[in-house]
Amino acid sequence: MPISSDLVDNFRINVGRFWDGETAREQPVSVFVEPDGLRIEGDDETIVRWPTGGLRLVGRYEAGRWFCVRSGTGAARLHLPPRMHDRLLRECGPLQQGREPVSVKLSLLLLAMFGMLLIGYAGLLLPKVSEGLAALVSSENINEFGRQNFENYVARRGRSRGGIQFCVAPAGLKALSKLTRSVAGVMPELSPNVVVVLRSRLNASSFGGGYAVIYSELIDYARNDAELTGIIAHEMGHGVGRHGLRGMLEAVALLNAAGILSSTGAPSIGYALTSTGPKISFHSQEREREADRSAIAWLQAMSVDPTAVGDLMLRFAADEGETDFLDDHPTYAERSAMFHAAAMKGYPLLTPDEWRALKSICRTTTKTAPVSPPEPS
Amino acid sequence: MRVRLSFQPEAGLDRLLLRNALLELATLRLYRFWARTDLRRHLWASLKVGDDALEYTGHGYELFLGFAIAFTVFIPLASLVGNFFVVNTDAVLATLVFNGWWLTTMFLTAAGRYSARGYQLSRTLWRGICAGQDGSRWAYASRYMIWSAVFCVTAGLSVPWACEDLARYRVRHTIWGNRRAQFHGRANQLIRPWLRVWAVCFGPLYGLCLWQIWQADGNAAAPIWGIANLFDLINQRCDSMNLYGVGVALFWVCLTWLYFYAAWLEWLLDQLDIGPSQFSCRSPTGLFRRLFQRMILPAFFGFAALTLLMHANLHENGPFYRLDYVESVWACLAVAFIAAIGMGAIWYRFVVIPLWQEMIASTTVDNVEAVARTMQSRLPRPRFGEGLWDIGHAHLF
Repeated sequence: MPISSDLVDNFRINVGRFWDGETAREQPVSVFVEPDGLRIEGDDETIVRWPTGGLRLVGRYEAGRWFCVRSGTGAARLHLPPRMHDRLLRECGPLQQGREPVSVKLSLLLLAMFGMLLIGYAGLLLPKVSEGLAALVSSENINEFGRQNFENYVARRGRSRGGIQFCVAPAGLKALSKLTRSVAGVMPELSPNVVVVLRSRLNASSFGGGYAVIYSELIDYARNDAELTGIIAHEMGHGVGRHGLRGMLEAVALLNAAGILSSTGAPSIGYALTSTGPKISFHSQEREREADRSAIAWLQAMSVDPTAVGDLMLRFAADEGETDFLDDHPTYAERSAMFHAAAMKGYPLLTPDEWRALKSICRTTTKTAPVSPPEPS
Repeated sequence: MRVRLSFQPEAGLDRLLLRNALLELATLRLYRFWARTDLRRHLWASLKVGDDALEYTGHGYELFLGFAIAFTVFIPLASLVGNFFVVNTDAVLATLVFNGWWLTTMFLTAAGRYSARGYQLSRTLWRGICAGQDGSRWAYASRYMIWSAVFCVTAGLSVPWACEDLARYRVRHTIWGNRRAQFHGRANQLIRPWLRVWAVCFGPLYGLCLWQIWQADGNAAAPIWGIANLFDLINQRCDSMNLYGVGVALFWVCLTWLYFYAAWLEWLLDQLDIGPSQFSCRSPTGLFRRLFQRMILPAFFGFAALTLLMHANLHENGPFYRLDYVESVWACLAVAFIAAIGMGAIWYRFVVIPLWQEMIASTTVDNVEAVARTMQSRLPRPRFGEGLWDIGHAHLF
């Protein structure tokens, strides 16, 4: 801002203290205001000229008895008494204070770049790393991983209000076992351990390895054995694809990053992780598709028509509402289309009596898991 | 000529601390780099030698850039180590890897701390003359690791000697302009305050950690998991007296740590020379009593947060009571996060800053007129901030 001629004529500070930035020697100076800035004079000679636009207030000392002004980013400093400083402010407009504009712009730019880096790390690098690492784990250890997850789940649910109840009506268990054996006959590596838990939830969960749970409401909801076989095959698809382990590996990495990003400490976050299990995965939709593809292949190998599962998805959509793109599963429409596209002539795996027995599996319940987990390898 | 140092926080400190706390909360602490810079600007300007205050010229983006670089290198490594624990089934190997990783992180954190000090000094000006630090961060970190090993072997009794050696290394590599600092402190001056702290706090704590490691078959992580189990204590609807016991122990640790910190600060300031100027410091009488009084407000805040947390978990009308296990762990973490940020601001405002104020006001500098001949520093200024220290600190603790 140009300085008024009136100010140029009248504004002169005789009591400034100046450090030239080269030595710590203090120089008493006179300060003259000129049209384009300040002229700072020592004994008889001009020390420096500071353009007004670059002036910057860098400190107030002793309750405003002195103000420290500098020009640009140089190390030279000028201390002004408050009366003069106030006048300089009044006549020249406010001096820059606080963060420099370039600092704000740089901060925003760095934040944006860092955000992109994080997205690249979580979205591109982590899935590859987790896939590579999970492939190194033997199927015995994958089963052991599933068993531990399953036991954690049982312990956690057992502590919750109402505890946990497994459906164990003998005839129903026999029918369920027939279905799981059929799936085991066509899938590689793992042996299924599927239990039914008394819970009003229209869902099933995989724990990794061959361990999975089906909630009783889903048994009630299913209309035929092909639908339940499809669900079991889908959960086994997660096991064979090592999705639980991959999710856990990604969760460890992401929570580690979150702990350090927020400087809240990795151990606490790590502990929260062990309590919560693999809850965080940015890639769950793709993994659901992968499990569906495995399920379709195995259903076809068992001569079970995948269309039944497609119909089940359509009923879910109608009764529960369609999922959105933020959900951890693809939309029901997409999934049902995938199953319908693989339509073939199929045969029931259970007799009508076995199917009725399976539907009644929750007539008898117990608090102990009906599967006897294999010894850890 | 003898001048007195003074440290008088300017108006606006409370507002700054509150603003920083709120912004850190809103950004999940990502704002901390800019918050730290603003606070340093404020605090540096409050510290005057004679008539002239220090000046802090660092920027938040420098701290953030340093952090981002260290994060990019460190996080994939830390994640791989974390993933190893998921896929590994060999307990012995897991213990070896954990302890190795822990030591590596300790080493890097010590090196990062030395670099961070260099960065802070390079952004500190007095009378337009810049401070700085030379020396090697790796040499410093190696010394730190050696002293850590000695510390373990001597059950912590070696702390005064470690303080002397590390302080001498730091101070002798500190410069202001073309002047180099010197340090004349001896460990024997610290023995008495450290023995007091050791007897009433650190010795028993050390014994407890050793016992936990012994119980966990030599796994050095055991004490850490012991602390982490606090969440479990809260979550398992535990006996509330256990938690209050932990709270009282924490109060005692903080109080005794502050006592030793004050003694260490006095020792450091009293034995320091910068060029021809000598510092001297005598801590004011009744410091410990005042420290105790100042601790009351943070302690009250901490206990109030703890009580609220327990009420939320244990009482039938509490908001977390009906949550399932996983949800209540996350809810407790969220409350602990908010409380930690609030505690940080209160701790600074009511404990640390008043302590600095007292100690600095008790410090004088002789022969200060000789500094007029000091020339500007020609040391290269580090471009980045304190990334390694920030990350190592967060990872270790």
